[in-house]
Amino acid sequence: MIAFLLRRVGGALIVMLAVTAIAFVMFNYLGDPVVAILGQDASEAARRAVEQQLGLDRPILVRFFVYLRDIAGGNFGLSYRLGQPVTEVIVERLPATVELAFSGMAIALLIGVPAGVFSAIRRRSPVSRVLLGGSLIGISVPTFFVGVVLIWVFSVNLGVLPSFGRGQTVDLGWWTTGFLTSSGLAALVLPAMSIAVFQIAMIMRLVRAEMLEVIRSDYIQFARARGLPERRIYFRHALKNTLIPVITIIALQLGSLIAFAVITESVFQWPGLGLLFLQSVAAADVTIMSAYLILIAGLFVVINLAVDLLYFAIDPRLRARAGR
Amino acid sequence: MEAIEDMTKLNGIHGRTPFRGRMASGACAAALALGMAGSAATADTLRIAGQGDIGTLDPQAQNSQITISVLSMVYESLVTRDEDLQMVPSLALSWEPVADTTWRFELRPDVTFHDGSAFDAEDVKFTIERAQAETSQFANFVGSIASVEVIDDLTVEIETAMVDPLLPDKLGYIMIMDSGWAEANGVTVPQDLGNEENTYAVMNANGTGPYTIAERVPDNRTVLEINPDYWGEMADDIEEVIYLPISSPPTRISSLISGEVDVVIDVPPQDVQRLESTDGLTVARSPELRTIFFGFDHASGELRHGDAGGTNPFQDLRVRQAVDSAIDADTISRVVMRGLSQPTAQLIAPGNFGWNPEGDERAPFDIEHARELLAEAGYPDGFSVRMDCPTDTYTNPEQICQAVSAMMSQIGIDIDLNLIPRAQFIPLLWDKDTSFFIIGFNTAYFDAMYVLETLLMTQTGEDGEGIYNYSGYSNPEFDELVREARVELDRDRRQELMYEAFAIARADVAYAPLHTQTLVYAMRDGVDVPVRPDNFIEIRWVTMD
Amino acid sequence: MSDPNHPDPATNAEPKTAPGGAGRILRALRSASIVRSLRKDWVAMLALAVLLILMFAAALPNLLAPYRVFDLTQIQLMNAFRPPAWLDGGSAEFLLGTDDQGRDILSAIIYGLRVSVTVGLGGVALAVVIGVTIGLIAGYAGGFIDSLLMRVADVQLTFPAILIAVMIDGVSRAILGNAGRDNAAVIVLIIAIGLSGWVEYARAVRGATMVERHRDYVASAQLSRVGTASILFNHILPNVLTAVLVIGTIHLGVAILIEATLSFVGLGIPPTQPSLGTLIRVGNNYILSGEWWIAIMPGFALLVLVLAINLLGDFLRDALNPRLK
Repeated sequence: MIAFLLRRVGGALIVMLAVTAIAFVMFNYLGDPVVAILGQDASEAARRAVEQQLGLDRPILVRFFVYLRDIAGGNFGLSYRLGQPVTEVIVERLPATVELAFSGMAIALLIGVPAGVFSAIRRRSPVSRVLLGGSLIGISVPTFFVGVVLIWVFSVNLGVLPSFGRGQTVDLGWWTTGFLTSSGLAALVLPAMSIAVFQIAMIMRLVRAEMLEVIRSDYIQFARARGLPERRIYFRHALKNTLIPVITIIALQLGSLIAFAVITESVFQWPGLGLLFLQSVAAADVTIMSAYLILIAGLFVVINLAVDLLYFAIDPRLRARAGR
Repeated sequence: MEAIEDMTKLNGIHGRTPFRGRMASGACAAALALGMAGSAATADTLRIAGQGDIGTLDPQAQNSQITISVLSMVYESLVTRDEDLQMVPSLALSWEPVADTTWRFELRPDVTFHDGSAFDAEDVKFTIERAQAETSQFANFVGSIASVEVIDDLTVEIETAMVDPLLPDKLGYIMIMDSGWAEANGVTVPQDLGNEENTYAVMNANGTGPYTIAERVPDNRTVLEINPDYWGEMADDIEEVIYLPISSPPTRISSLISGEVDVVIDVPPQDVQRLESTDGLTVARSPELRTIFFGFDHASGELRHGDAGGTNPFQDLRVRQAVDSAIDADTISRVVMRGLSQPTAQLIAPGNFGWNPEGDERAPFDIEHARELLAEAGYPDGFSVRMDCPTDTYTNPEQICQAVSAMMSQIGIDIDLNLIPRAQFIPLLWDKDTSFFIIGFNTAYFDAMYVLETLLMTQTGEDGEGIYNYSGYSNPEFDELVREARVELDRDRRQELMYEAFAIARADVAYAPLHTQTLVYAMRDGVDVPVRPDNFIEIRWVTMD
Repeated sequence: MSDPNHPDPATNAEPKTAPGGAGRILRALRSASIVRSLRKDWVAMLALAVLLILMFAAALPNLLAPYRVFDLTQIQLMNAFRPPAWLDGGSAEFLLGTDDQGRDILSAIIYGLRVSVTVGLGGVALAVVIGVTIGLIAGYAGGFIDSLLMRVADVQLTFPAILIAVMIDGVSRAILGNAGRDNAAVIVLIIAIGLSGWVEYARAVRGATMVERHRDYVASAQLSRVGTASILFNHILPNVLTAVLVIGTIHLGVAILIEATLSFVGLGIPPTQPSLGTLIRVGNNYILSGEWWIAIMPGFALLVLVLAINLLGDFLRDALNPRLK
């Protein structure tokens, strides 16, 4: 077990290092961070001075190793664009993205799981067909388009929901939340809906497929033959067995939801990590971009690890193999 | 739009959950709308949305329009401008030249910084020297200053290296900091990025202006609170001003239409008509001091990016003339800018000293003539060249560049359009690694000298000559005229010399001018934000009911 | 261990002998059962018809598009912002209206379709090549190579397509320079989509390969000293192709959406040769000013395209997977 964990963590560290290296080298070609600092009309002298301050005049390898050393010491450097420490900026934006992703996922689960179960149990019902058709549209329409349409309908034409930002947030010291104010909740509705549409459809389809699979399996047929009530068969046995793969996928989806929040955040100007990332790309703010990528990679590594451990706990064969 | 009107009345009432079911009646809609008070709108809060965020609170660190515009609510300079853009006293009561190269400024008494310390001559000296630092973005404005002498608490004398008739104009951009505060917080040099701890002035401010910084969350919001002890006059006493950067144009405009903000600066031209026809909104406009034009590589012997058989066609005057007359500025103004631009033949906008009322006649739009010119120059079949174009600065640059590419194709110039963000575009200018580009430029202190000196003079590296001359344009006759004009104290004679210089650059087609932009602010009824042509949000003039 | 998330149609699919790959698919398609189920499923028929039309348009835009929108000399700024023909001010000249440059929207959509489909198909093809190769090797070799390759797959999953695309963007800038990169935008996106989407193929193929490896015909092939490559390609590969076909169809829809998304945030195809996503991005600037058609028309086209692909993907999955009948 411990060997298994160590191997995984070791692998994760290599992944993170690779990500750091790739991120650092690639982002140097996205533009010149000095532009964000000095603007168009900057004299040669000012540019040289800033480059020297930032160490941009040194060879890229040297910069990379200095960067690695700093990261190892917990220092992600200074955002060129904002003049603030990167860690501070990221910690400030993280709550917005996490709240958005979790709200989106919550909506997706609340709608997707029941819809999936229903359409599996009542396969031939017209409602199921509508649900299935809707889910197909849900996975066929791009998230940004959903966002644009939602703003157009609910903010511009009906004027009932805000189109940008997080509304009023409450500062809890280490976390800012929009859950505690009416404007914060209202601001969350459209972005969370737009991020949820694809996930609803996906989860519904996934739950349905898994459920159908399980219903067909021998032991359910057996339970049926024993004359157990349908409701009990479906919810006690079938759904339970469906949930393990579903939870796996959802865990992985949560990661990509945070990564894909880039799109929703840009449409709704949601002040989270995704918007920060896009703005940093445009301004060639290398330090923020690298830190963001490392953070996302770290997140996935943790999620993958958790999923692995989950399997490890469930699947006796894996345990046996690891023990050998 | 009824819901929106209801909503603005109800702003400020809080408490009920916004989701109450479906919109059945107006009342219900209003209840839903409660949640829309995007940013804690009390009755006396002015919410302003613009495209970009302010980059820093350090008044000498970043010369970007929105940064200095918002900071001008917090910090003040020695002189400022009135509605007619005439210089008027601010922290200085009066100023006069006491010798050819010496200016004396009498300072305003009884002014205090937000932290309570008194404003005096030391602060002026300190700030000017701070602005001269290598990393200051305003070094150019104080470049002519040799020394600052404190005569007494409220008098300074500024010695310039050469005659500088524009010194007071330039000092309008130097926002005065408190020397004691700067020293106590270790921010005596702007933009000290090498020292990673040293970011105090980036996130904190201490000025003499009508507002103090109450909250600053970069990329999200900057909240300003009124300074009750402000010395100057205000048209209104709005308690709180919030600046919100909303970079996506449709989202920005939606936020105004739905009542989440009160004012939008940076209104895309295409949305003006809709905003004008929306009940409860007004649109204010003013010609901007920025001019947009196309630049050529005059210097390279061979096109750096493109193919013209080993030559650089742009070195031939006839090619530049051809490009100039193939640009249909009127159609661009009408279609791309929706009439919110003024086609021009000059490199500066009206409102600048040195703008020539008779010099605005463009070369006639004439494709045939342009083709003939190209043929005469030896390019009957045209040539191909890359055009570099930023996507996230100026107004609708992407559309303009695409339109001009199509126009160039009409005379056989095959454009490879390179649309890139600013962060990649501007280094191309700095490195002079561009053959054909679009650029916007404004004059900073309402005087054409800035353009003549920095953009058009041959780059010598001395006295700021040609520091922004990215095209390599060079004409000794022109340089001589500018050198003569810049030390000329007689206003009329100076204007005459500047006219002559511009005429030379025009005849050389140093650049192909396109248009001057029109600034548009949109705001809800009851708010009045006058548009200053230099795009400063002058908070002292703003009223709100 | 076979991946529990991807119940694998191929493992249960019929023949144990191994005819040529394409032949088998063709046979499956020709076989009475799939045609019969297609006939019964009018939705799938409709989706197939729509998809064929769209693919035809994408393949031969010159035949169908009224204007050559990539030819700058044909664009007249004067024609900009014309509404669709059925609205006030519209004309039959421009059936779906014009965009901000005076380009005919219908033609722009047809050419945009070509770009989107090219990127989608290219990305999927690349993902298939990478995924199938890795899957075959991992499944056949097993042991250390297998766990190494699957570890790489995990690493890959660490990166969502959008981040991979941003990085490839950086690499291509490094290699090609800015302008060169814009011209190569299609290839950059294909690589980004290919590199971000191969894992699912690899896992499915690996699972199937592991099963096939222990079948008699492989053993007998091994005994008769047939080369490994030959076993892989002639015997095992054909048996996993149905799975690849099903995954590939669904992936195509995803790939086209990824392209549109990247282009929408400005990291994809430039507006000089717009894809559907680029057209929507451009149109988004005019969504409030009344010229809604510039964004909505391409958006609708994108929706129809992806929907048709997904419908067909669903149909294929059900039709080729006997367990779900």
